[in-house]
Amino acid sequence: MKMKYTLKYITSVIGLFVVFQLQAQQKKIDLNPKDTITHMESYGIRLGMDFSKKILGQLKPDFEGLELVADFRLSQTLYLAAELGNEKKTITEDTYTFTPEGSYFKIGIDQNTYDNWYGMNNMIHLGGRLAYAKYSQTINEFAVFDTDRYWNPEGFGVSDQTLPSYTGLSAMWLEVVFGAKVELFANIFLNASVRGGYLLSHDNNTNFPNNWVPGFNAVTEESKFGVGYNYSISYLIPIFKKPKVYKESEEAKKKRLQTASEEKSIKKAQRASDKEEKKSSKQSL
Amino acid sequence: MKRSILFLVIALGCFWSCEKDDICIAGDTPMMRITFVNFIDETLEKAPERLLIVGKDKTTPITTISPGSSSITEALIPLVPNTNQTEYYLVTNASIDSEGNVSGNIDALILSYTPNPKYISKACGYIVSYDNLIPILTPDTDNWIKKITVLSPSITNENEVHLKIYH
Repeated sequence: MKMKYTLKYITSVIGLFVVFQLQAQQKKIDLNPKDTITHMESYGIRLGMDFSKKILGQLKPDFEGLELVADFRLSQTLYLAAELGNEKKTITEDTYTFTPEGSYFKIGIDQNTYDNWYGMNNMIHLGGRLAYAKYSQTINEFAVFDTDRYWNPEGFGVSDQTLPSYTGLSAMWLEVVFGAKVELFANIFLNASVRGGYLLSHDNNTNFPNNWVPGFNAVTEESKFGVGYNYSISYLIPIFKKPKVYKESEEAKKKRLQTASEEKSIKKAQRASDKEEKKSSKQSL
Repeated sequence: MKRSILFLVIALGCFWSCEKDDICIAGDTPMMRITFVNFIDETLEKAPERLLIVGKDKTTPITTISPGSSSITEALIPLVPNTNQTEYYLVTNASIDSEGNVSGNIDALILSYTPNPKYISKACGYIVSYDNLIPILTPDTDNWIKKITVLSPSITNENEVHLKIYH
């Protein structure tokens, strides 16, 4: 008697497994499961300083400069960026030396074009700036150009006059920025960028032209273009975190759409077959 | 990527090293133009005998006129552009001995002025024009120069006469 019960139990257990297996088989095995782990990225203000200007100031006695850099992350790839600086440079031309001195402010957007791997936080960015500088120019010394060499047979005579310095000058320009930011240690970044400037307006109505504008660098007489660079170290102050938005590749998108349509057609066929089965069973009845 | 960075470095290096080759042709500091006039009849030009013009502390006469010539009624005289005063010795009946000493009737003329610097270009830098030209003749026992009048107290070009010397 006892034996019979056991057998019944075993067979019913087997039957149970069979049912489960049937159910499991119906569910398709997903070979490309979607990653459900979200990677959180830091958002915040990055503050830094241009160290190239400091080094240049140490090496060359005719240059003094300080530039502070900052950016704020707006979205996955966009950053609001700004630079604030002060420069003083003594320039020696053939017959005169002069010192432009002043401050500048640049504000704009950087777009990160580099797709980081998991955990990386680097940038290769393209951006634009609108910049404004307020400065003064002082002529330190000048020699008078004279083709007659009677009084000054060797070179031109340095004038004993002092010229007034030109103050309250301003300039405005646009900048295209191309650069890279690399995370050296946690939240500490090494940045480098090259800039091409296009001068929109500058005060050139004084007795002396703008040969050099702080932040813009050299101004030539017949062109509105200029070049600059920036090497800085910055520190990220994290404020909040947001999940990283992964960009779907073309291939993955194609695959996803294909599987979806396949699933749809399978379901359709199944429904059709179900209907037919029902019909046939009805007919047989 | 590596190649494009290399290209960028080379391009930037070029920007830094290429500079325009500048030659100044846009302007020059003007000289002073003087004329010599007969003291008795002021309408007549009169050339001084064997004229020599030497700057103070200079060993050679000015070269804008041929030294020792007796037919000079008009001369261009360079001023010192980087100070506000020029001193000249105007010598008539001049002769230079073998040691280079000048003898003759020497009159010392001091010209004072205000240089007015003007920026021309990066190549030229500054030139000056002169304002408030005042000639002062140093009196001696026999001045051959009798009178000096200023026709134009500001020297901006070399074409007009600035000073008239009567003798």
